[in-house]
Amino acid sequence: MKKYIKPPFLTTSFTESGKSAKKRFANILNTGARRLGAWLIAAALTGAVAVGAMVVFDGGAPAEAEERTAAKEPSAADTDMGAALGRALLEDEDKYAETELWTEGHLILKAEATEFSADRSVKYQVYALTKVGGYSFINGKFVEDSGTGAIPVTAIMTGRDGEYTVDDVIYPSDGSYYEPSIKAMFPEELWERAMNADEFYDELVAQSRAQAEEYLRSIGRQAEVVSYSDLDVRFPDIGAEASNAVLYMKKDPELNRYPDYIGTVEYLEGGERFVYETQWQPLTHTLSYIKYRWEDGEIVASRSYTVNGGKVIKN
Amino acid sequence: MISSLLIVSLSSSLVIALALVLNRFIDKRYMARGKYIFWLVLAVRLLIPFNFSLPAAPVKIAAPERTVAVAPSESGPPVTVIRDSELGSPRGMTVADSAAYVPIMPLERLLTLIWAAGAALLFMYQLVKYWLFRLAVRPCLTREGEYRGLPVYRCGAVESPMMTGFFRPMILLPEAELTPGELDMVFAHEYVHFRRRDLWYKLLLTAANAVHWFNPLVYLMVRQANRDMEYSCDDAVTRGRDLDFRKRYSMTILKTMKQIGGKGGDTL
Repeated sequence: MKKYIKPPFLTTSFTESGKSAKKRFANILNTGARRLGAWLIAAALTGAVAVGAMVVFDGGAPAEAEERTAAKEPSAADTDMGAALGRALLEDEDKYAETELWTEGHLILKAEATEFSADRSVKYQVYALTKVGGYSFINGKFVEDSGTGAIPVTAIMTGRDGEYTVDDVIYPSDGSYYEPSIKAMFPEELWERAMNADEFYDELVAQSRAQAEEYLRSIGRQAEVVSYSDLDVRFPDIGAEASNAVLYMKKDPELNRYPDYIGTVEYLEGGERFVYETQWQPLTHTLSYIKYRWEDGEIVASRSYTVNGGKVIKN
Repeated sequence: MISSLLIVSLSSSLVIALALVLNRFIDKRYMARGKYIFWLVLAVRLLIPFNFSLPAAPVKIAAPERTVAVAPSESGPPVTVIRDSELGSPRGMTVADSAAYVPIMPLERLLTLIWAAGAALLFMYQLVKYWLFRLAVRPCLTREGEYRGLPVYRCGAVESPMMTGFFRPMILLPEAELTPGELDMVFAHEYVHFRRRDLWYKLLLTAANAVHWFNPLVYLMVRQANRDMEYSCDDAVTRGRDLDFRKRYSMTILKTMKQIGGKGGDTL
């Protein structure tokens, strides 16, 4: 038996009447005068709109009304929530042990309590703009040399007796998923601010810098706090071939601690501060790496290389 | 948006239900064309997900109970506390419950996602079925000529005469033999579909059905609209014709139906 293809709905089949064929024939054979029924159409359609107009979804208004009569809880929640969020943001960065100080900045846009437990703990969804910044001493300045831009996040927190802990921090997705993920993470009223988080970058940086300055005070050190882009760094003028050779040499982890630029970087090692300095003598074509204790300037390691054309020869 | 869509769906359901009941009584006195137009406008209405509520609407659908409080803070953002019956009761929750808390998506957002997925799925399903059908018939098309500018093809893979193609419409004829008189009726019928852009009408119904995929009455509406579209097409072909012509026209339909075992076309 021949197999036919069943026509889909989006075609018009001549025999398309199925079980109602009888009615269809009755309709065809009906020679009596019939009316279009325009009034019926109009009445039914007016009804469709009118019935809808009789109904209103009784939702948003009470929320606004009660806002004015403001209840008392939670007390001073924004400060503690902010501290909890800040801690959570920095916990993720601890793995970068070589960065001397991690700072953060955050702006809580809104916090919603979503769940109340019998033990008086409350679950919150906290919508915030955040950034983290890692600071190191470079050329004697305290420089933010790593970190993020302004990132909108949703934090899930638990609050109990005025103490807040962060259960999870949700970050937006990258690339083309960024906008949809923001829309899924944030309530509609915050979409615009979350999408334009960069507009709040300066404010977040200011918070981050304040923490860096506080840190400098705590270690009794004076230094200018700047971002890496404000730093004027120069690199040894040794040409591409020799640069590649240096790069290859720096597979040695100890040598890799020295900066690529001409200048210094500081690391805390076993509670002591050491300065790693890279020097370049253009006259003698000498590239020197010197490590000395910050406290007394005592040199603890050094090596130098002569750059001859594309070759880098150890002295 | 979901709440607005629900109101549109619910209020339209009342009208659909009323129209389906009335339909039984007005069949003989009113032209199918009136109903055809009615379903068209109702489908457009269903596709506009905005409700126009009166300022003092007599019917109010209660939203989930919600208490909002704003923490009196001197600086910083407002902290809004929402007690939402959908998000868990403040009472009766154990510490273990609280520990096992998994961040949940606000209900409205979740419903919107489910609704959008369902709508996309249903709409895509019909489009894919249509696209697969077009692919399947393509190899067996033999050009037979044209009817008032509309290309006519013979295709052994179809059982019944039909029109297909949104942008390049064509009439497909089955291999079964039809007399010239019968062919004339078939062409006249499919040409009315073409002139009225009934494929687009069906696409609009499909879209309305997809948007309101959760509403069983909309499925019934689509089925009835499809039927009324065919009836009004028959009316257009037989308008001003005598009973003899109408009988022959019916016999032609019956003949093609017999050839396919009375199955007819696809419904949603």
